[in-house]
Amino acid sequence: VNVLLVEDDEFKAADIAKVLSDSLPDADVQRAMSVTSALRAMTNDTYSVVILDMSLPTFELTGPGGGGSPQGQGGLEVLRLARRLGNRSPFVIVTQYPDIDLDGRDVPLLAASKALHKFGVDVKKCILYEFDGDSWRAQLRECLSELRGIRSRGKP
Amino acid sequence: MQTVRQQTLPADYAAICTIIEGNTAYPFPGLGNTFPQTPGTVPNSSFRQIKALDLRREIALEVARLNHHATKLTAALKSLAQINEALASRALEEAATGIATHKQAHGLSLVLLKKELLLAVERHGLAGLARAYKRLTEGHQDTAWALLCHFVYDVMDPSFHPYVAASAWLRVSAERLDLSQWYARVLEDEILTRSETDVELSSALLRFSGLSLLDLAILLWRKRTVNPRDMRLESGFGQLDTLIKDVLIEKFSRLHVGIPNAYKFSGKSSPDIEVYRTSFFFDDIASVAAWRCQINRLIFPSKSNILNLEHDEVALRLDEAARVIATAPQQCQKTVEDLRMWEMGFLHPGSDLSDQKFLTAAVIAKSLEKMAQGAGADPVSVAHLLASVEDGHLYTSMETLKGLLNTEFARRSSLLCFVLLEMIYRRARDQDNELERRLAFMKMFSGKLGAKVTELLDTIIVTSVDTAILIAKTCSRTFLERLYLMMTSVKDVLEARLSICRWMISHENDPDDSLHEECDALERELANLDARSDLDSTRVHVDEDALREWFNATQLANATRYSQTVLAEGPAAHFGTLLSFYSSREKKTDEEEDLSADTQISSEFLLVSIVDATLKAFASDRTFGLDAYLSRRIRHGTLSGHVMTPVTRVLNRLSEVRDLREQDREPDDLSGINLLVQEWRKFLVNELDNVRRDVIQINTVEHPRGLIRANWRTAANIAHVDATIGRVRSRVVETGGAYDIFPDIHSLCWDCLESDLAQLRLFMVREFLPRALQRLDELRQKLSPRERFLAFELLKELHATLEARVHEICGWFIRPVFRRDRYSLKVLIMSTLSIVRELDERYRFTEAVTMDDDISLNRGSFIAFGDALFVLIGNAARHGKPDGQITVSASPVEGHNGLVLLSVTSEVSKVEQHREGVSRIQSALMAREEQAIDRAAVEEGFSGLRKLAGLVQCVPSPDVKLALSASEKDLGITFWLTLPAEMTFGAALS
Repeated sequence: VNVLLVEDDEFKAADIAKVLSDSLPDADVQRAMSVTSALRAMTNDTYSVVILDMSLPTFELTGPGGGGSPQGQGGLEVLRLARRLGNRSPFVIVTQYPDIDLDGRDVPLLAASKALHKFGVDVKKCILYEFDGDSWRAQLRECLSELRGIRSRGKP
Repeated sequence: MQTVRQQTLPADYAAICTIIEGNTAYPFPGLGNTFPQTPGTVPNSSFRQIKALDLRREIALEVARLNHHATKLTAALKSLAQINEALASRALEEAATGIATHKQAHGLSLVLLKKELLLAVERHGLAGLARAYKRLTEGHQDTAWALLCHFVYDVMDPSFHPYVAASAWLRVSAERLDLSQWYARVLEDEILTRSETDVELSSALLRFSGLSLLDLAILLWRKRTVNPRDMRLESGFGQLDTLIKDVLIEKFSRLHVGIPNAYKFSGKSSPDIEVYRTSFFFDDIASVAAWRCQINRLIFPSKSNILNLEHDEVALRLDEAARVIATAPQQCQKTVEDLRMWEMGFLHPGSDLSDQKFLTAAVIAKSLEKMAQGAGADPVSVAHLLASVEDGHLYTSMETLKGLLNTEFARRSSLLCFVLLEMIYRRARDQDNELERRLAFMKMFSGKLGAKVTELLDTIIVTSVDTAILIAKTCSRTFLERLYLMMTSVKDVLEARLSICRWMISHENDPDDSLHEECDALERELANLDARSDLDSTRVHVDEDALREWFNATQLANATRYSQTVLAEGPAAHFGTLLSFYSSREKKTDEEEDLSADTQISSEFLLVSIVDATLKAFASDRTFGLDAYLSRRIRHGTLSGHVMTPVTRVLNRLSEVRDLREQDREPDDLSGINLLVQEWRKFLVNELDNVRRDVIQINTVEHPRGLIRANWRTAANIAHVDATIGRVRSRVVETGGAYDIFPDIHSLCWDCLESDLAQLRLFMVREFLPRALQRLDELRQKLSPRERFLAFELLKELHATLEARVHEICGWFIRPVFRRDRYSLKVLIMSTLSIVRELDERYRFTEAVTMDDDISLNRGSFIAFGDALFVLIGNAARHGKPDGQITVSASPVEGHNGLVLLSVTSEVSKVEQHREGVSRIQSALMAREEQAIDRAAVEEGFSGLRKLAGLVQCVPSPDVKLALSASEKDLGITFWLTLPAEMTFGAALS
């Protein structure tokens, strides 16, 4: 199982990594912290799951010149480009905000998975992350166990 | 009228005309308009609800009307023919006399209006055209007549591309055909010449009959010409009175005309687009109307159904030319040259064209259709061909471009795919098209990291200069930054853009001066990369370069037209204020359609339409607009994090107080503290979420509480627009039209946003903060006396922390006038004064700012000056006389290149306050130990003097000085601060 964790916030990334290590202890977890590094990783590999934040810088903030000029939501750029790069990885969105700005409309997370299909990608779930709450962990675990189930059923 | 039209049998049309036509007992001139004398009655609004009959009956009825007025109409036609001949032979005085006499004898008509405006532009250029427009519409400004005048004016304006003008009016027509067919159909027919269906043709006859009998007769003549095999039209024409028929055949079959001098370079030759424009003036002549119909088939493909070309010799020829180009693009030039005779068919023999760019683009558009159907040969040659044509995207339908893109033929060349996607993007600048062209671009490099764009340019330029230049021009900084698979950092982007700018300077024939400026700015930025802070993340921002790119792509032609119109109007033109125009517009109670905005032609309204479009993009563009920035940088992350992180830290310490006490042998009951922590935190998170979701939003139907209106139509902002109109007009006049208006428009966008930003700041300080603190106080009241005692210090800290953070958030909503790495010190001072005043209702100070406008700072210096100004002005306001004066001055230090001396002077009310203040300041500025400074930065927030002391220590320059002078006599206190305008520092300051 290989997982791409696209998250620029260290605290949140560590929180998600804990859930990953519990649910998928053998997973090979790669980390990307910007749109650029996420897309570069997805150009090379297909992942069992991509856990994606919505608010991302263009480049690594630590790179020469910083994260680049402000743009639209970085996570959406990853989704828009994923299919075009021929990457079939499923996505789980983990965001701190209860809605996603899609074509100028705030789409609630509950409805966002369906709305994001317009990009031709498989978004399994959109989860609201709360650093002092637990419900997101349960949702993410459930998502990961479903993925694990699918993978193990798929094995000969 | 409708009943009469429907119930009367065709055999009775002649009889009914004898009763109705010209009968003064009726409130209308006849079954349609006749020879109208009043401008407001062309078209006649009395007929606007009438519906067209089926085509045969409509033709029969209109022919009966024409025949009823045959004698007078024949005279009008003869008069019109004389005017045509005078205009064609440039006997302008004769034409003027003819037009005046015609109007007196035969009234007004659309066809005569075109001749009159043509005469005006021939005699006095654009200025004459504008004057004629004003004269013709005076007293009838908001009528359909004025709208038709505006349409003709736009097509005739020498500074406006006639196809772009026609397309814009075609869109107006399409939008209004359902509700306002009475004039919208006229617009459509004047542009397209040909009706595609019987319903459209019948409707055109009805609507032209609402203009005048002369227009109706010319329309019937024109329709017969462009539909030569329509027996119904032929039969209708055959039934016309012989007098009318004879004059039409004799005088309106063929006429050689010249391209008016107003459209010629130095009075000699002109580009071939002017043939298209000229055809509009003379489409009452059959040969011109036929030409216009043929060219329209090429340039309005979506409006031309598949036609049977079998018997249409010209159509077959154009079709064959398109086929040849599709299969052999290299033969394009020769093929188009072969069409020159046809293209110039109705022009005077000996006329000269400076190019055939228009016809080339139009035929290529047709050939792309053929390629999409499988006729293409070499895709790379096609890419080069398309890159060589400036306006190809204008004349090619989206369906054709997309169809071609999906062919195997196009897929064979990544270069062709990119060029096609670039054309698609030019037609529709949306996010999906932008992404597709970016992907195609990366595909040309196989997405290689570190691929050099200039290497590709050097390869391509060997085969096609145009293609290389097209690619280079596409590579703006914004575009490069999103080439995720090729660029790894901002440094990569800057270096790539710099090399492309240098490449363009060395390869373009006449490189733009701005390229040199951009190179300098990029070099400076690269040299100071380490000093780049993430400043943009906390201050409202719209990428000026991206906005400029959008402006160049969508508004440049309008800006050129604006400048030319200003020059034509001259420096003495008086406008007044937009306020009176818009206030009177709003008062209008007439139930009829409000056409006032459609009927304005002066330069002010051209500028206003540019401002309107630019402000919309500035605020709402999904890529670079303010809303996109707010969404990513403030609403999604920073706002909540900035407040909740320090607040949570204090709340955690508050929880620890309780935990520590619970470990005591006889623990107090401190559950109230726990409740306060939980409740207030929940409350604050919720409030912040509301602010983010509802308040920091562009005001729309979805976000009615959004405080950003980005609207120039408020009284205050109209004053800004008025000021811009005056300033830009005078600069355009001074520079002879060379003035670049973009910086003024960009600045105006921020002007229009100022009050919105102020509203946001006020909301945060006067609504959000008091509400949060009130809730905290309510929860504090519920604590036991013991809990209150234990929590006292931390609650005070909580209060101060939230207040400081909210004040800092207010600092985000300040206009950031800067260009990449240059910031205006004056704007920074003005904004700081403004924001400090808003922090407390008791602040009623007056301000005086004396400084040079052009002192600019780099990023590092901007941060230092920004912090210093908040401290100095904040203290002056807090401790000074509430209604005293704060004086800020700044000037370069003589003999010290790059140093700026800033002074801030304030006054207090009493000698005791003065002494106390001086003592406090001296003690604060004495702080030298690092820990004390750090502590001050946290405790004092942004207005602490110790923070200023620390800042001065952190600036890596030996020239930095902070001094105080105090005069007890006049109760004044002045700070003197010397800082460099350019500075670089690392993490120490942040």
